Amino acid sequence: MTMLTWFDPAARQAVIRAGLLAGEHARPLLGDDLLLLALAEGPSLAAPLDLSVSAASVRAHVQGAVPPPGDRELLATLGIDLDEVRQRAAGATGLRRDDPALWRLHRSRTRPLRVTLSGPAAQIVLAESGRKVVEVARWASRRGHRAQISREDLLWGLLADGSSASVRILRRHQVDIARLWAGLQTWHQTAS
Amino acid sequence: MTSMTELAAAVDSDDPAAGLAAVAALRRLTDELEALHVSNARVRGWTWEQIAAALGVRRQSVHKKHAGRLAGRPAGQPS
Repeated sequence: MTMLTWFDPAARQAVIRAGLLAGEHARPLLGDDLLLLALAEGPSLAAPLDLSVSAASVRAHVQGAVPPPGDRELLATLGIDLDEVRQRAAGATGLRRDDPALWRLHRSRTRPLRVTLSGPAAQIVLAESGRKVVEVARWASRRGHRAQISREDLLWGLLADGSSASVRILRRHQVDIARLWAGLQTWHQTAS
Repeated sequence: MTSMTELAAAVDSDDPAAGLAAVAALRRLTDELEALHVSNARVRGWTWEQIAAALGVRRQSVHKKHAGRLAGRPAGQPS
């Protein structure tokens, strides 16, 4: 059974998006910063939570000062329109690469600290920071007696480690972490 | 983001890095398309033997590559 069943549809989509972002940024591991970017790209969090930072701002930190060319640009040099190919494939198969049914999150039986997200053309191991986000998010959802991990639980996981890359990114953008925590506690009490 | 002009110039140059990066991108796209079409075939009830034959590879190879990701969804059952 895939660990993705732990997540509600919106949170599942965020984890999958983070996996796709890891591929686009040629990352060897899926870290917490990519989970933050996936969260920032998605719909607004439940009130009173507000990330107060745009996806573009987070992306700028994630990709660094000189972003490498993406697959879209590289394939264009070969005369291939990536968006056109993906559109045709989706039309032919009725499946999209971010279809949750095509993805799996699983923990190695022999190496329990190794959690891998796999999907179409993607297989990426969660970095320690990414794995911690998932584990804390699950703890938070259980603590709140919620059946599935929500995007707000993922935020809990992101904020849990004050020295993580995602918290550093938020601080650089003058996001009031204490206010975010307070909002999270308020949400947690109402959502439980 | 690097401009298309810069990329085109890079490909025209004798720097192998640009050409190899494009080949790697092409490989990722091929793998992505293969995964989508294999999933579609399984949803339509194709056996691993049929899929392997269509791809021109051994059954064991295609099963090892895709079965884990598609575990829990029997052939012929849309997700």
